[in-house]
Amino acid sequence: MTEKKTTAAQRDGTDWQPRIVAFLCNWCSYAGADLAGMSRNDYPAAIKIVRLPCSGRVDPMFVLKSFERGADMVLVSGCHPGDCHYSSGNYHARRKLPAFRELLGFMGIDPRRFKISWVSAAEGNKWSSLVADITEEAYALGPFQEFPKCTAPEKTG
Amino acid sequence: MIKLHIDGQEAEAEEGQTILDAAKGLGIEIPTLCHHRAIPPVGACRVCVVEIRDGGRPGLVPACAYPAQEGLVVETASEAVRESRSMTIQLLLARCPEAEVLRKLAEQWDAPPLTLDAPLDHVEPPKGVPEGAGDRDKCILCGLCVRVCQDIIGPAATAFAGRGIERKVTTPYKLLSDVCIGCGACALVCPTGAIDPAEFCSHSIEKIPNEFNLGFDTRTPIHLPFPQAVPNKPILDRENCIHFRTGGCGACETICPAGAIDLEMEDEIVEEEVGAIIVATGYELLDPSVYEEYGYGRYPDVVTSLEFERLVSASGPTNGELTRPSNGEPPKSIVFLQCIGSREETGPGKPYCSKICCMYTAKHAILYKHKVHDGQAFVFFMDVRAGGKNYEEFVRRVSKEKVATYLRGRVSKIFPHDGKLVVQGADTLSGGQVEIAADMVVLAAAVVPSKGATELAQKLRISYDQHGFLSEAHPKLRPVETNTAGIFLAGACHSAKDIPDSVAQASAAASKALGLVVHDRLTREPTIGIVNELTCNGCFECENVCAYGAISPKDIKDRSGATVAVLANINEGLCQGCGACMVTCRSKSIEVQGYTDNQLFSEINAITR
Amino acid sequence: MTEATRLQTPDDLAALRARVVERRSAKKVCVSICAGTGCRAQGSMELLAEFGRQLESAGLDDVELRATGCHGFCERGPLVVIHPRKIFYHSVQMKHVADIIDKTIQHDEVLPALLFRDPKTKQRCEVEGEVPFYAKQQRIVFRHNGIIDPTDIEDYVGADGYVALAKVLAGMTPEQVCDEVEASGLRGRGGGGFPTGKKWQICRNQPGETKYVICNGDEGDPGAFMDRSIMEGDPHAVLEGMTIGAYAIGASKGYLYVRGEYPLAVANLNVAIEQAKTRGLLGDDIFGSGFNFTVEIVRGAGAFVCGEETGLIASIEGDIGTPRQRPPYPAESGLWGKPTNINNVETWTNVPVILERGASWFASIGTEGSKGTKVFSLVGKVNNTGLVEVPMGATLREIVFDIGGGIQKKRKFKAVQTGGPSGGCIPESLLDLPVDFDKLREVGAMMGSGGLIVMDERTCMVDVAKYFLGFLVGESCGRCAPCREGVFQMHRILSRIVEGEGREGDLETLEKLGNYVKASSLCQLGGTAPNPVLSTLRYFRHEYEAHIKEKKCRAGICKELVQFRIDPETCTGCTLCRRDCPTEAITGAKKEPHRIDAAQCIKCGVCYDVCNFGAVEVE
Repeated sequence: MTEKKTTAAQRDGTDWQPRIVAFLCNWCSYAGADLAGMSRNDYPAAIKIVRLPCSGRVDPMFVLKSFERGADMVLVSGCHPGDCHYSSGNYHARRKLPAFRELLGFMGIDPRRFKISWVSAAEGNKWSSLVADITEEAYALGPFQEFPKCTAPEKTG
Repeated sequence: MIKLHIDGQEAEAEEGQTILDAAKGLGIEIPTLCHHRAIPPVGACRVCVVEIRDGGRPGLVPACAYPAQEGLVVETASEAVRESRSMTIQLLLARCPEAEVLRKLAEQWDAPPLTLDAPLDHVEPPKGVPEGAGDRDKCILCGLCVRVCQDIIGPAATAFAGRGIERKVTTPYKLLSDVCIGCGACALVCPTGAIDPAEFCSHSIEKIPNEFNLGFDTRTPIHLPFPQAVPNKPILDRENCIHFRTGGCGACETICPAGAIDLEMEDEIVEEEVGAIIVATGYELLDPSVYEEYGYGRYPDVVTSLEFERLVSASGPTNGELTRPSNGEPPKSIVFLQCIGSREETGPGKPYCSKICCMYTAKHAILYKHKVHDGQAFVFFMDVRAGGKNYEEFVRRVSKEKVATYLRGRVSKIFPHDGKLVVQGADTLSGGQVEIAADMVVLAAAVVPSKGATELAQKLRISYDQHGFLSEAHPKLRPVETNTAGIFLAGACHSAKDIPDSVAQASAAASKALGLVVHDRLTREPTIGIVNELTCNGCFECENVCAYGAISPKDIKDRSGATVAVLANINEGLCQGCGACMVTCRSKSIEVQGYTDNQLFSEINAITR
Repeated sequence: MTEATRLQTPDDLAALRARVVERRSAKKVCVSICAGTGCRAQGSMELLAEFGRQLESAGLDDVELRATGCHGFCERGPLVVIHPRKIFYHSVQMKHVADIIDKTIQHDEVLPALLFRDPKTKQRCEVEGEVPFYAKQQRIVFRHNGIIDPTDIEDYVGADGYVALAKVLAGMTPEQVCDEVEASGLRGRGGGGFPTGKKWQICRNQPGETKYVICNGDEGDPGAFMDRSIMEGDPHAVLEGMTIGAYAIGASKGYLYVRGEYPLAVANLNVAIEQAKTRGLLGDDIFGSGFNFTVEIVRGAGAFVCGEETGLIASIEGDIGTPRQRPPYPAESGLWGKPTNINNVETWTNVPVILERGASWFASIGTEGSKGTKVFSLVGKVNNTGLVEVPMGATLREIVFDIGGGIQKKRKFKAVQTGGPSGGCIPESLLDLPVDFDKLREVGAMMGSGGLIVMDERTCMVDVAKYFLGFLVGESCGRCAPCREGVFQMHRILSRIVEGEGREGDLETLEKLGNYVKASSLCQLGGTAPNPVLSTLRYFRHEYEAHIKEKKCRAGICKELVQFRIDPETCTGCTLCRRDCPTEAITGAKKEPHRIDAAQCIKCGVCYDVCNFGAVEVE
């Protein structure tokens, strides 16, 4: 499946690949991604993972920073609600991040570029299909170009 | 202390004790029938008579009811005693020739059968009870049942009716008793086994299915949970206990000689501080009644493999005799069905292989042949998966030695016909349909995690998969740990596993747990939060979000000892480093080590370069 | 009648007595009719009403009518005594009333036809004391019976009632009362013969505030009715005795356990209790002494075994009347677990008279070990049946022949059974035995509550033993195995013997079982139950042997072993037997010898009993 989609993108004739920044909690989603790898699942390489202790650790600033730095899509993934390694961290994320997404439009960012999901440590397959799906969507949305100027100073700094 | 002489020996007794008690202290055995240590004595049966020679009115008195008195001289086996005892036994035996306890006493006390007249029935059944139920002709009218019900339990469901030879144990007006609570204390104290409360209780006495034998037999509210339980002590099941249901009974408390039962005890929550937890919640079988075609739950002779295991067990409901649940006859033909709910991508079953079924089915076939030598066994299988040391050889032996006939294929239908179960299935190797008339069908149902395992996992904050099996931290490198430090897995709670694998994993988990707790100091993760006291303004929003209560106010004092500020402080031992506080902090005064904002921003910068 | 005022002091009592005695002047005409159960059954109450009617119509208003308690001579009821001459009429019927009023009351003439005629001397006896039945009696217990009206406390007071109670409460300590009773030598009349004073003393010495006294009125022996007669005829004496006993023991509550079949006794006792309460003789602060005592009547339900102390207590407590193992004795732990003293009716009735007249007076009556008198109910094959009170030590011969008037139909005396169903049978050879507690026990019988059943030659001793054991099989409570099973098995063996199925070894088994039941039973019902068998085996073993070996019942009772035959020589052909035979088994023409058809004969023995010439013989 994923393979098919990647080929489709390549058929467009461009070299452009979306850059997707993923913030994964250490205990569930990161372990899920690990399992996907261990299970020899393929998924697009467009995704770059930042490991955090918990989805509750995700500061909205991280998301903004990613977009500012030219990410085409940002994903936050944590444990399923109720299964948080830290009891309630993902509940904080669940309340905080959707609210934050509502504000993205105000910032000039298409809210569809911000994804939230729950992937457990046992869900390697879910992880790979999730990545394939959002990569496909990132292709569909095209490059994120609303913040081009912001990137330059940071690069130097 | 009262001093008296029994059979020439000096005996001691306390105030309120009887001659029987004093004799027991000397190890002198006096037979009794109507006496029970928990019930006030009446001296009715007169089997325990002893002779008072001196120190009291001379003559025969019942040892069970006669108080030990200072200076008594008692003979427990004088000629007069022997004659009287022998005659009592003979008379009771004339009434109840079937009572084993009397026969034994007769042998012991030289009481040849008297040529006396016919015995009479003594426990009169209430109206509506079929004649011949129970062992009424064993009643020796000792009255223990009546007394225990009246004096110990309380409802007084039974009573004596009639006088003299017409005396009978019955219910008031000989009607089925609606005050009987069905406690069975009467049957417990009856020396001859003559009484059965089920006969006179107006309401049915619920039989409690024995969980360990999967309901093939029944148990009492006080029971051993399973044979060779550790500790090997009975447990009391409050839900079924008459005392806890009605407030009555309490016979166990009175009767237990060790005084071990305390019905006042309440459940309590025990808090233990531990350094490691091993989760070993095991498995159960998928309920095969979801497959209508196999008729499990409708046909008693269709059983699961675990039920079969109990039926052939020496400690099982039939003491190891394999019988058909429907009629108690040995099954002359048996069909084992494998992969019931396993390896099923759609439908109510599970996609995984339950792993143990191939091997235990082969074992069951052998056990079946041990029990029923001339029986025929058939196994329907999808693939025989015998990966393991000597596994393949074992299965091969079963099929080669014709212990069982292996048929590769699935069964489409089971239906009863002429007292048998007709099993219709496909034999894909020969390419034809087969129909087997079986006495019994055993379903090797899929292994699923125990009920409640996921709830436990949520409490322990460990992860589990979509089937409810608990997840290890790493499938290859950390197979017994969970993602939560200090919690380990063992056995089938983790995945379908046979005994050798379970033992191996359990040993590993134990080693891991020991490895944790043998150290004097605990190694904690370095990634915990630290408060920047220079910028913290003491709003304590962080305190609200901390799931561990690790954040508390801290007084900052100047040199004079006066408090100048109250700031957040993080307990290093409690903090797990989740970072919730860090995100909440408006002044960015908390950083989780290893996951500081700077580090993460750098990371973001790096990957978006 | 004077208004029922409370008697505050002994002086009040003396004043009341003086008034009663004055009013009942000895010269006054009074018709005293026995209203005991025996005479009532023969119509004495109708007689009383008839007297009332006829006296009224004759205008004899000053003639007093009195319904008294039992005289004891129940055989000849209804009994009527005409005062002041105390003319004693027996078997009075309605038709005699007019004559009595007309002749005896109005004209002071004696009606000879109604007087008792001594069969020996052929003399007519005008007053009760001359009747041989009474001549040899000494009436202490029965001192008021037949004289006072039991439903009128003033009658009792007039007869020196409650004097003893007043004396005790005014000037004696409880210890003195116990000592006095002990010194009198009074022994329990219920059968055990335990010294009463000692019994009180034991109970008195028990710790505890609450104690009880109980009057055992559960007279269960078949044929015994002396306690009933006392309760019916002199209820206040029982109450007075109990009150004195309660004072001595330290009890303030008493129970009167009365057999359920005694409605008249209960009625009269209830009246007596109410009257005593009104007079302040029961209740709080009796005679100003500070002593309180109340009595409650409990009616038994008719179980023989409830006469046993512990069974009786169980019955009062509302349980099945079943004896329990002693010790503890009731004196230590009785009713509701409190020290309890139980005496029977006759014992209690002896108490007031002992206290009134002194221990030494009482001790002068009777024998060495048994003091006072004993009431016997004399029944069976004697001419005069009834209640007989004789001093201890009177011989059986005196009772049976002098008082009882010998055996009916001039048959031969065979045995006398004493002590109720579990007593023993005493043969002719022991007729001169002085009757007291110890002598009776020596010969294997017992005093019991005082039943005396006289048996003649037409009594089969095996059958008698079987009869009594049958009674005991039915009355055994069934708690302990020896009594329940042993007596039952003995009864079965006896039944077999009388049916001609007796076997070699049966007598030995009977003796073995009998001794076993006696030694091993829980209470004295079982402890004495084998007595009828053991005593008959002792004195009449030959009869048993005849039944077993020869298959013969010489008394002609055991049907399976009997053949009736008419001696043609002696038979006069009077046809009496032929007419009475229920199965028409007897044939024969008038004035010609009759004969019995064995095939039709059911061996009922009617022919034997009715034949006036002794022509019917038993084979």
